[in-house]
Amino acid sequence: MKIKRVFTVVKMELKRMFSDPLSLIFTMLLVPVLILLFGLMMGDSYGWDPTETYSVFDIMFPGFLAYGSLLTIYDVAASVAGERELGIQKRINTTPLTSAEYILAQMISYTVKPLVQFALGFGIGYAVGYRPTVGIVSYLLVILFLVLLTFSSVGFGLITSNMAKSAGAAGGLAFVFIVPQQLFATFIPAAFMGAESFAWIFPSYYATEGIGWLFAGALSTDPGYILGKLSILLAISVVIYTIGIILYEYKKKS
Amino acid sequence: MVQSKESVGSDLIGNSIEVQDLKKHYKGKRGMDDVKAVDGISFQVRDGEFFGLLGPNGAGKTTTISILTGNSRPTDGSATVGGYDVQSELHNIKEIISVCPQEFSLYKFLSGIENIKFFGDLHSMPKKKIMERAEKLLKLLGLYDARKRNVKGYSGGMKRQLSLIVALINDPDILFLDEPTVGMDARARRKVWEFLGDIKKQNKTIILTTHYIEEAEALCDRVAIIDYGKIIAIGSPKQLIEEHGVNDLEGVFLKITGRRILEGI
Repeated sequence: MKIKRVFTVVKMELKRMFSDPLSLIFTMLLVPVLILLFGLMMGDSYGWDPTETYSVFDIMFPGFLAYGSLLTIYDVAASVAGERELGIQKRINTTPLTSAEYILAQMISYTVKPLVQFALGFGIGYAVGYRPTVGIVSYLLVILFLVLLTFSSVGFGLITSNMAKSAGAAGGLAFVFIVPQQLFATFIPAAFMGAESFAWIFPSYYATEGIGWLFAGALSTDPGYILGKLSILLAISVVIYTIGIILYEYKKKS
Repeated sequence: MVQSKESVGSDLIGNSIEVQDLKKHYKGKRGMDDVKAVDGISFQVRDGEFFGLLGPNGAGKTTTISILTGNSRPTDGSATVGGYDVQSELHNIKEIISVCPQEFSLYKFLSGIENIKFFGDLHSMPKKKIMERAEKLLKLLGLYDARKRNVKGYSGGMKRQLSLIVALINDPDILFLDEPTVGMDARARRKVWEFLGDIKKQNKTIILTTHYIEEAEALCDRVAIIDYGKIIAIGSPKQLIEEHGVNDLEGVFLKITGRRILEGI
């Protein structure tokens, strides 16, 4: 593996992101704006927690952070399918760049956006009253949860790009993977919807649960629970990512 | 298959490409017969030769190139490029080839020079060498002044020329050109022909697919005329024309198939 080639692709992907500033601003601001709106609307609403310790916004906040990572599915699916449509993938395939290098580059570049969204989102959340009193390790683990969720989203994006014949179709198809995760395991925690019986299949369930409990201080009270969710998310992400790579390789030579 | 005397490979010169009974079949949809995109073709391309695959659309030219460049797996048969097997030694092949695909295959949001640099970097070329070579190629094809402009604003002909420059940036030993002048006006096409003529002088092996008769006649040392996935004639344009007693390669195709190459395009 040649790292220089990986960063050549990362640089190009970042240029792609910045080539359409309007769309970049919109997607970057989506999560912070949701946090701002829900923070203002539901920061004082305690309808979901009889003990009135956590507001509705507190409970939804981890899901908003995870949502930014889920949108990676759309970005990867549309960009890979678009490159295939334009014949760019065909040209790339004839260079010494390996699939492992290409996909690692996708992962690195598409992690940038959720992390910026996290920073902006957390800043806004803090401003509107979401101030978890947890240590730096908890914050680092939150970032790890988001990175792993992004990892699985890149995999879903690659799977989607292989199923679709065009960038437009891939963009639409991406929502087959985004919407169920968004509805049943992200914005509203699965336990609050009685959806735990099937939400366990979604990577976002483990990320939202893990982040939520980390912010609630579970690293000191129940670290096993956090590590359990992290391990399952890691395992699921690796499986999805591997399927994504296999399908990408298959499509490359079919 | 009609084979001219010149098509027989010489033992004195090595072959850059050897193709033996190559097949690529696609499963027919909904009970239809399988599609035989490439149906048992064999040919050799000598080192430093300008070799053309000439035929109508859908004849199997692009599929053949796709197999030789690792973009498609053959159903059967074998092929080597630069002495390396296309199935098991593809990583070695990628170090010595370059492809100019039929599609524009360029990043629209990057400038001309950024596209060139991107592909040069993928070939692990030193930055200085990329810039020197890019400048030379851009000037030769008249794109130097437009190098910093986004490709999105290029005309169709400029995109084709840039695509050719990108294919040449790594100074490949073997160059595959898939319909490189499609959509160009006559003047631009002539310019590319002159350019390719100069490239040929550098002893590069070039494989060109085209359905333009005059392009094959002007550039190629030898051509394989391909139809329905099979090679129906192979040899130098001059030899094939003489042997069939016709005026051009179109006449050769017409005489063998009863159709014109440009029919159905």
